[in-house]
Amino acid sequence: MRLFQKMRGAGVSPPRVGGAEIVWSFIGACSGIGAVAWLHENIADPVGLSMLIGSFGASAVLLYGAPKSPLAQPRNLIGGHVLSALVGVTIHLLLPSPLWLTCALAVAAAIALMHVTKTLHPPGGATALIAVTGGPKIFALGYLYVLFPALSGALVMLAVALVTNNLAPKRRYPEYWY
Amino acid sequence: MQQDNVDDVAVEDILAAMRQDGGYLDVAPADILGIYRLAYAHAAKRLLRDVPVRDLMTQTVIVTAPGHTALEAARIMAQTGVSGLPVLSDGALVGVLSLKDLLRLLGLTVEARPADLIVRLLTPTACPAPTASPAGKTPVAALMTAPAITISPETPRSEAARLMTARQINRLPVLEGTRLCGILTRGDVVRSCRTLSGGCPA
Repeated sequence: MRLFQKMRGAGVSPPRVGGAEIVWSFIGACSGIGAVAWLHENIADPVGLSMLIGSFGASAVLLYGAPKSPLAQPRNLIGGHVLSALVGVTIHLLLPSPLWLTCALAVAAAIALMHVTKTLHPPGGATALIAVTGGPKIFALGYLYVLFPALSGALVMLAVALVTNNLAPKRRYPEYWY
Repeated sequence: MQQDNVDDVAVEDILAAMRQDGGYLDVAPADILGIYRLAYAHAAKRLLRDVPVRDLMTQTVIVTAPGHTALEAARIMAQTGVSGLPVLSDGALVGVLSLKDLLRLLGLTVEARPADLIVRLLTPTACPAPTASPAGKTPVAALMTAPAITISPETPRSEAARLMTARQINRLPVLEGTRLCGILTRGDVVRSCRTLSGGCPA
């Protein structure tokens, strides 16, 4: 019964953020994802590389929507994507099938490694998952996936976050670097 | 802030603070409250442990000398409202004279407390009309407690309180080297605890 009691939840939900917060989140995400997608479309993709993966959408939520979160700090952003990409590619190379197990191990190992290294960044889980499910174009990158798109994309997102978050009068970013 | 105030902080207050902050904090209000309470308890514990005597002692010390008479010393106590005096001889602390030491002069036992004197004075059969006592001429040197139990300005409050309890004394002269720089009374310790939640050190 205690299990079900705990499932009911006992707390209250936090308040809605202010209007300025919403506007700055929009501006940040628009600039950050815009920059990454533009670089992907005009520079990386033509030479067979990638700058854009789905996990950056999730990073944008943290970086531009919740910049105070420990999950959104530079150490977590960069460390989370890079380590998760490493884990994903490694597991794909060691154990390409069965796919369900490859997927499960990639995400679980990425979370564990991020915890150990104090770099927990939820989009890292997606970066690891994409490494094992991304299809021929991603698989062809091999360990280059760690640099393109994982590291390069994260760096561009970080650069944009440093500018937009600090342009906002009531925001400051980062809380700490590492 | 006192103990009841930390418990007075409710989730609604946390919600109000979060609204005031305006930004997105990825933590639930109840968790912030929990952390706040734990942090407050840690702060109280740290303050309880760390406050040095220097921060709570009384710096102006009213003193007497070994050559003073018991009557003179008693007058000083009566005029200043203190119940004990460090005894200084040429600037050096040689003992402490407390009200208890003076009570012995009045034919009371060593353990007598001020209340015993009142009992004696208010008992019709035991107490004839007050008469001038020659005991008032006894020098302080013959009555004081020596050597005095002392502490340094850096002694933690908890240690001072422990000493007062263990030795059943109400004041501790504070010595910096050999110089008397203050006195710590039970009152000083109690007053300094007023702002804490954990109560006084044992």
